[in-house]
Amino acid sequence: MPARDERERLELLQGTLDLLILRTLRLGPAHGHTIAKAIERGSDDVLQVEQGSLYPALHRLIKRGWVDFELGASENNRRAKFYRLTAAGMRQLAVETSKWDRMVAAIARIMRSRAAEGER
Amino acid sequence: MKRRGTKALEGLADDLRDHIERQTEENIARGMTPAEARRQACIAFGNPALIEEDTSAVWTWRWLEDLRRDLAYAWRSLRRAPAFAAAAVLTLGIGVGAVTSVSSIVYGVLLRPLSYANADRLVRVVQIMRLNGPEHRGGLRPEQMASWSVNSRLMSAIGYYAPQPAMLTGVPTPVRLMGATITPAIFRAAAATPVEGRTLDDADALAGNTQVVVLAYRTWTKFFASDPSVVGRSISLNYKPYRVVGIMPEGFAFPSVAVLYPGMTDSTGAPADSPEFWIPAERPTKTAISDTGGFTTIGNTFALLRPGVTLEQATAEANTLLPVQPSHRMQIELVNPRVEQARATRPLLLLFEGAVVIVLLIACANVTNLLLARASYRQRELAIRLSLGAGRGRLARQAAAEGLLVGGAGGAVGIAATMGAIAWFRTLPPYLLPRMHEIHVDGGTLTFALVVAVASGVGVSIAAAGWTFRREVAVSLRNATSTASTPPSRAPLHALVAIEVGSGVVLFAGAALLLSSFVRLTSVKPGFDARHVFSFQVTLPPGEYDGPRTSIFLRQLTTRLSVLPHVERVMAADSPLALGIGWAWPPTIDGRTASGGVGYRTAPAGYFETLGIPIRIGRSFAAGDESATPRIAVVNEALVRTYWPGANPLGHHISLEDWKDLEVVGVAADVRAGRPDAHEDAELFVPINPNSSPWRSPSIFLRTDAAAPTLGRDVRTIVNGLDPTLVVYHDGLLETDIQRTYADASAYGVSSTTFALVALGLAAIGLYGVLAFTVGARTREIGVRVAIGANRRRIVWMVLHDALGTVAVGVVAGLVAAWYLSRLLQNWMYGVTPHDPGILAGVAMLFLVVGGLAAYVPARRATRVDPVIALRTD
Repeated sequence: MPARDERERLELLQGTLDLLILRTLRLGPAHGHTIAKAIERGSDDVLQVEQGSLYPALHRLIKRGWVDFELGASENNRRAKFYRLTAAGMRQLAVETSKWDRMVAAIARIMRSRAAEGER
Repeated sequence: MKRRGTKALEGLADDLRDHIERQTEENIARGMTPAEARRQACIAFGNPALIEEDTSAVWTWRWLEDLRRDLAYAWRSLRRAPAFAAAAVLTLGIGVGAVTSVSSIVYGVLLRPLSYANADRLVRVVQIMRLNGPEHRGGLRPEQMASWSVNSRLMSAIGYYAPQPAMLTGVPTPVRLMGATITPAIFRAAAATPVEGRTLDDADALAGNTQVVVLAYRTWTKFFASDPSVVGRSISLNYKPYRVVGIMPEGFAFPSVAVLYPGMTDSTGAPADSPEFWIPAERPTKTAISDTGGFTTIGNTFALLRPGVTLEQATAEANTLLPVQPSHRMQIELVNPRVEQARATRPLLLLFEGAVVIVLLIACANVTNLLLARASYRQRELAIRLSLGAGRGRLARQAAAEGLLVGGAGGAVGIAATMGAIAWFRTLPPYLLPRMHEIHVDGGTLTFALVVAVASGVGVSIAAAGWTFRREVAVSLRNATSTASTPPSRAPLHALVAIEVGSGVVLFAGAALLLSSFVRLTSVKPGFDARHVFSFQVTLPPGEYDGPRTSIFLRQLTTRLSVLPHVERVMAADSPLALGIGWAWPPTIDGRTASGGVGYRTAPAGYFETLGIPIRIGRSFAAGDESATPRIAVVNEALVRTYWPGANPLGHHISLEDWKDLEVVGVAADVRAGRPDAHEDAELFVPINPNSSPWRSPSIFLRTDAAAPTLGRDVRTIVNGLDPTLVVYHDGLLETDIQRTYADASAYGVSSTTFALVALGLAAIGLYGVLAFTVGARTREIGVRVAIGANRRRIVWMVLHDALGTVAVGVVAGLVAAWYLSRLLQNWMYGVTPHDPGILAGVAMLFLVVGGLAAYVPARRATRVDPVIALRTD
């Protein structure tokens, strides 16, 4: 498999990865690998999850009480953890989402006005 | 949280493996071969071990884990080298202990803010009077004080204070308190907020108003059980009622009595360091006015500067405003008590502080040496760790952890030493240094000690580690057979040890001189048999005891006292045995005026026998001698030596001031009461009888034939049996009083000996460290020598040669310095010359021997070097 174009990988900041994990888990509990794939597919492969940072991020979320885990057996009877969103995590997701929206809108305003100036 | 973390981390390896498996499956689904699929999955995933670490790090603070591991490792490696650990801990402990002790003292005396308010505006007024002779310093005269109070623009209050002893009766145990009479305005200026009640008002001092008193905290807790209702009640001081109007808070002390009046004792019998009560006074009382060389002034005059007024301005006003006696030259000087107290002692204390900082630095240098010596044995371990990829930072942190342990232990040792030192320090008489009662070991002291210890330990370890790195990296990673690595220059290390030895010699010589002087001082007989002489004092209130009642009381008292077990003799005198005479006047010998000074004592019958003063010629006093004609006297040997040298003085006549034409009937031995190095005074003893004039505060002396520990209690029972309102005070053995006069000499002796021993110990450890280090560095060289046939003895000699050379240099330098410096100690030496050859030789020998012993271990270690192993150390 040819290597993915490195330059296209947008490096995800730590906080953003946490947000995406929470969003993904809103759809239902999942294993670690599933979460990573969900993020990649959900963004049409634009966002590549640095797999080394996935598990530390998950544990950070567990530490803050937004994610909980259960031991489960997967399809081939391998032991792995299921991660799911807690009620607090749900609330936090709403908070973070609105923050994210505001930030994106603000940046977009600046970018559009700049673009308008640049065209003149 | 921790449990949650442990649970979450359980099976982390499984989770990661599962992740890789899924990715592998996905890759297979995309068409890769199973092997390729797995490979790609692993690559994409990254290093599982690293990910595990990063994930666990989420749950802990990484550095905390590392620290714990480093400390465990450091502890294990220190346990494997107990000698080194002990030496390092002890050295550091000594340095830290010294610095902490002296710093506490310096802080307590110089830096800590004074415990009373307005310390910068409250000043002591000193009047300097000169009349064709030496300067006399006193306070203001009463008329000066009055005039200044009225006319001053720059001072808001002028007043004075005087020590005031008073009997406190009407409490379960009547006791004699030492308090203060003080101008209310001055007291108010200095006072803190009272715990109960108020301070003193100006109205309190006016004649006709009820007499009031403010109590000190200690007095309130000890004698009134901290009962708040005592405020407003009357208590009985000196048999007169005083209404309590306030209680001062704990720790408030103004002014410090002991510094100003060394002889005063308080209710505990210890030298008083702060008043136990305060009563207001407007007109100076008799005890306030003192006679300094013929000038009558109020001893302790204070003034309060208005805000913003400087010392210079106030001094100028005083000099211009106050009436100055035309025949004298006077000068008013305002002295800030804080500055004054500090001024006398500041240079000495700063010197001490500098000295102990140097001691600490030497201790650190020693520990560094020890660490370097040890490092040279751990070369291989270090090399391996470096080659495995241990970062410099990591190894430095390891070294720091070791330093932390050594520092912590050293700190503990230092704290123990400090506590001992401060405890001893507090047993010294309070007039040696101002504010001594405020010095104690508290949380601040402990923190200071620990911080210094840990900082030193860590600093030293990192320095040693850094030093070792520079050598080891180069040496240990060289593959080819290297030549014997040149040990780092040893000269500075040896120079350091030589300096340690030299300063040790100086200190030891000084201490030895002081100690031997002290021993000589105390072995001189005081001239009378002071053993088993118990004395006490009672004050007979003037209103109740007139002449006849006093003599009846004293007769009854002496009768009852003489039947107590072990009591041989009882004597009542009109004053306590003053150690040393007071005034001296020129006598008239056989009608001719002579020069010089003779003091006198009034002595009742039985005086000489009770005090054990032998009569050399003639007789002592018997009852009735005071009314004999012609009037008689006893003289002491010093007087005979001065005025009738070589002749028998019996029958000759002497006059002194009011005593005219006394016939000498006996010669008593010289009483060197007080210090034997004090001048031997010529004394005249005049017989006296208590019936002649009532004694206000008689002193009773008892001689017992053996130790009688219950005497104090028995005496009180008998006195109170005769009159329950009387207070017994100043009770104790004469020996204790005499010992107390040696207090400062013994203090110097003890402290200088401690310093000397510390210096000796440091020098020994320093030498050991340097030698261990150089032997370790020269292991290969020694191995080579042994391999080519060198005698073991030559090896030992090589090491000893190093050692003794350094020590000899140090000893010589030290002796030279001691020769010059010991002259400074002249003032404190008695019976010893500063250049005593015996002492100097002894000290030199001592250091050479100790040096040899310190060299012993490294020398032996050198002989045990196995040439085969040594040559392989690469």
